[in-house]
Amino acid sequence: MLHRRTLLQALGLSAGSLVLNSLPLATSKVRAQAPYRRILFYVTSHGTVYDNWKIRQSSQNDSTDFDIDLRTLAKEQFSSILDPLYDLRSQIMVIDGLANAVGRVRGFNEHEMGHACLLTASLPSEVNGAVARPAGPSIDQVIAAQLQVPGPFASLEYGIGGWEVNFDSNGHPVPLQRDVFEAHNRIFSNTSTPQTPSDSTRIANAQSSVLDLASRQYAQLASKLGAEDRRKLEQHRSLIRDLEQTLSNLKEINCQAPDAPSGQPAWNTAGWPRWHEDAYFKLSALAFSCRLSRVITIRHDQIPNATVQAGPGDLHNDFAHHTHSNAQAKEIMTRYHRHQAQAFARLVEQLSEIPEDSGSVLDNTIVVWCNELANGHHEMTDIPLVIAGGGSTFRLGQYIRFAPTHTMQAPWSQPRIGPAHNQLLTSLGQAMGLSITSFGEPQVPQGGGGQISTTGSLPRILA
Amino acid sequence: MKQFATCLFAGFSLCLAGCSSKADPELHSSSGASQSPSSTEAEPDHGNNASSSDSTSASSSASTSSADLDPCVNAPLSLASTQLRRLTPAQYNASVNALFAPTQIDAQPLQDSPETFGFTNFGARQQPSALVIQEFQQGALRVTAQAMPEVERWSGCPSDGGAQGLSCAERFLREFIPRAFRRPQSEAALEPYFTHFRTQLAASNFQVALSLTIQAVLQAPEFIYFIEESSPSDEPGIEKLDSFSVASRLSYLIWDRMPDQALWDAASRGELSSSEQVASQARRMLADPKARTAMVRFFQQWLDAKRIDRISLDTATYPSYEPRFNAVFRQALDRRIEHAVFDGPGTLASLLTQPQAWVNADLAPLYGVNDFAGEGWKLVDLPAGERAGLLTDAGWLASRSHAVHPSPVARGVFVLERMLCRPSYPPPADTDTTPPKADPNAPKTNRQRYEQHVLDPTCAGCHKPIDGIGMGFEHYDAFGRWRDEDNGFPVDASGLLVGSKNRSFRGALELSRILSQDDEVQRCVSRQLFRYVMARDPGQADHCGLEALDARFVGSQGNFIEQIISIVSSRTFRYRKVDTTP
Repeated sequence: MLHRRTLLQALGLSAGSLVLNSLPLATSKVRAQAPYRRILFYVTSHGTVYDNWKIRQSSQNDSTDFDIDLRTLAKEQFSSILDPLYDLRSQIMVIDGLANAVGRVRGFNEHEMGHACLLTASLPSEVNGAVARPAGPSIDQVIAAQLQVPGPFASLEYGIGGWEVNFDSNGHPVPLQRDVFEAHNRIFSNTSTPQTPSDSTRIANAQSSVLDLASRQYAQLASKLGAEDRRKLEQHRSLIRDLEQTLSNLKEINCQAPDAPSGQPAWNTAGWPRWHEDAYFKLSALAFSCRLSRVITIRHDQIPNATVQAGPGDLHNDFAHHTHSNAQAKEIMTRYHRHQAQAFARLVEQLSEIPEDSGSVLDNTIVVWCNELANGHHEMTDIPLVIAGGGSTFRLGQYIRFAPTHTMQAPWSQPRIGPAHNQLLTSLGQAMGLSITSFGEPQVPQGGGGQISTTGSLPRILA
Repeated sequence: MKQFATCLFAGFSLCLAGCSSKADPELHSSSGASQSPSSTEAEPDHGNNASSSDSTSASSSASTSSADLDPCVNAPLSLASTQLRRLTPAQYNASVNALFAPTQIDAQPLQDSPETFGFTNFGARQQPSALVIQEFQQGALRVTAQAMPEVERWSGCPSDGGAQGLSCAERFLREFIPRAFRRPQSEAALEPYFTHFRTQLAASNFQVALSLTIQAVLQAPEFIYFIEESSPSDEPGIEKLDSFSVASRLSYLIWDRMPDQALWDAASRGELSSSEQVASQARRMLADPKARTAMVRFFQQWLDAKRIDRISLDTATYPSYEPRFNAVFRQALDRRIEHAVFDGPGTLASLLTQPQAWVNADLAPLYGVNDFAGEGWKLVDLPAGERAGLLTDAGWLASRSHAVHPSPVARGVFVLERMLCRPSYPPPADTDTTPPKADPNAPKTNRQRYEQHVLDPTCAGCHKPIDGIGMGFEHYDAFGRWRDEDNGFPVDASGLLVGSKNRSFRGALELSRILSQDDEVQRCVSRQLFRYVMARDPGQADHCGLEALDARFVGSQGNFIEQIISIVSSRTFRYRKVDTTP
């Protein structure tokens, strides 16, 4: 395990810029109750290139469930997309064969439905030209709301492009913070208190009085409005109260701000995405290790053509849509998803390098790599999933294939599907301490009539 | 298992209502004979109609369809409810700059709300979230930090408050807070701010206390939200907005910021009560240069101009294309819109058929304008028979293209969705959308490559209307340049406008002329304007109000400025449905 000096180097920080707090918020009482666990969703786009993502050995039959022990594989037995995760093979679990079945129940744009259903597994309603509105919240928001010891920030949502994937209890999208400099300021601007107060620190320290005054105005006004508008103002007021609490909790955090990100490469240059990934990874690692938050989403949709050596054209329209039949498009999108695997590997490595308790932050963090779609043809079956971390919760080191079990009735076709991904979300919720036995829409239509249940969890993925 | 149908498509969106059962019933009802402009002749405040401030223009277009068959004649005022709206990022930033003028304040990075029909101002989509609330808090901190060094300029108080710091601050806040909140404030409403100032002054100093007080004002609901007041009308559940609420709706629509002195004075005197009074203020405001930015934004969102930012052409095919063209295209489109709306006839027809465009040295060759010389932007005549109007705008055309070939699908879908208000849907999830391979021995045109769409019955239902329009643009390559030949073959730009009229046409110019006179297009654009102005989609209850507004738009030959005036002076804008749910 790394010592602190190594950790700082790993995070690209100068010594002294980070003070690892021992236990700022979690009291010993809380620790006795439940392990301090966190979750991070890394959400990428376009669906994968399944042929180049899946791992198979000659003996396996796709129509039956099987496992592959990743630890026994030689490097060349890994798929080309997952290859960057080879060195981490004992720390990851690959899940193959689940379906975003709820995302296929309705018949409008699959991107709009996929974003809405990925983390909610709730039925979406169409919103013209935008991400759909799911009937319920996303699993991350449910987890964040029910943590007994949240960080100052109940959850953090970051976006390197792309639509929202997190939804509040009314199915409204939770906005993504899309500016990494602002993201840095948001969590670190309130953490330090110099010895000699200047006007600006006086102002910073008196923010709770400002928020208190503002929130009283909301309370007063809300009573004069109709039910719907009142609900909105009351939500605003309650979020101001939360912010007051956040700012107050931040003062207790012993975590000095690192330098703000710098050296941002120009858009459309090959290095643009990696710079952003690393900046958000560093923020996330610090937010986790400093216990600023326990629930983070990183949405990543922006990879310029130069990064994947693609010629001109729109990666989505001109490449992702053609992966089934155009070899060049397939190769470019394979590079695209390989790039994301490399990024995911760096994220996992970074978390594994921060010591915590007798292990690392990664041991206490579930890291999930998922995608709005299954593939470039807008399908929702065999959705690509990789999970890392979480200590001894999951069967790390395994590739777990779920064979199709049911025929679903979708608007235009009858796809064969494996277990619904609702069950994965249920398992993730349970691993984070939720007492749930199902999540989202409890069933989807079955081909030929009847319903397919989506309730329950996925015991096969548990250690 | 795979359903194999070779349908090329371009991204989101691509199948028409006819493909599924999701057709909007309103679409079909509105193109029939029920239109009754006669309702516009009624007294403005006694019907569902738009303002009669210049009713002659509307009635001139009246068909003689019988008024007694029209359920909207003499119908009681009916409105769908409007959800509480908050300032958009543009409105927040313009307001802050107005409040601290002459001190300039940097734009604060605030979240844009999610789009609906391309528009980002819908109240229903402006949900509070932890991030949004913290952005307002950090925004307030930064705004006061930037404003405070020039506190004398905008507050009239000495920088340390002077000997009379408290009274100077109170005098300033007495003027500042009502402006920020867009209506007069009672002493009782001001008192919490005065108290806050006094408490903070006792603990620190004048600038700190004033900063903390202004920060509370900038996070107050009366600043961030449109808190409206109204009084009962004759119709149960419908109330008439007070003059300050109308003033705020007007000034944020037209100028992105709070009322100026003249509008405030009019509101104080209760002179925003009648349709004519509102129309006259709106006319004054639209003539002000401040109106241009805010009104151009409607067009940017309606026309999905941001799509131009994503243009990425194959430089082997288009060696003169460089990424910096995207910004040039955006500017050119903004200038085209501003010119058509404010400096020309101002009609939908002029937007669609104007034979001039703004070009610079980059764009002139693209438009076939050969005698362009000098720096900067000029309004030039376009080659006759090749170009006229928005749908021949090079940036617009290039933003609806693939890297090499233009996309008849993306172009057709735009016209259908945004100009005809016919929703479209994507192909089935497992449709193979790969373009057919080009056979080197049988060169094919772009048009031929897409023919599978209409031959394959799986695709034809949606693609006949889409491609029927999109093929009309085949004279423009993916860079938006005119071409007579495609791959060595003469371009065939014949198309078919599927619908009640089923009109065939040849080329984008003829299509533009047809669209510019088509009442389905005019009604669609009227609906788009309604959405932007009202920051919501029209509901069932708005039917009669929208019918009347549609008729006025048709009657004014699709005049945008006149239509803004029609909407804001209508009861739809000046009244509201109140939510009486406990």
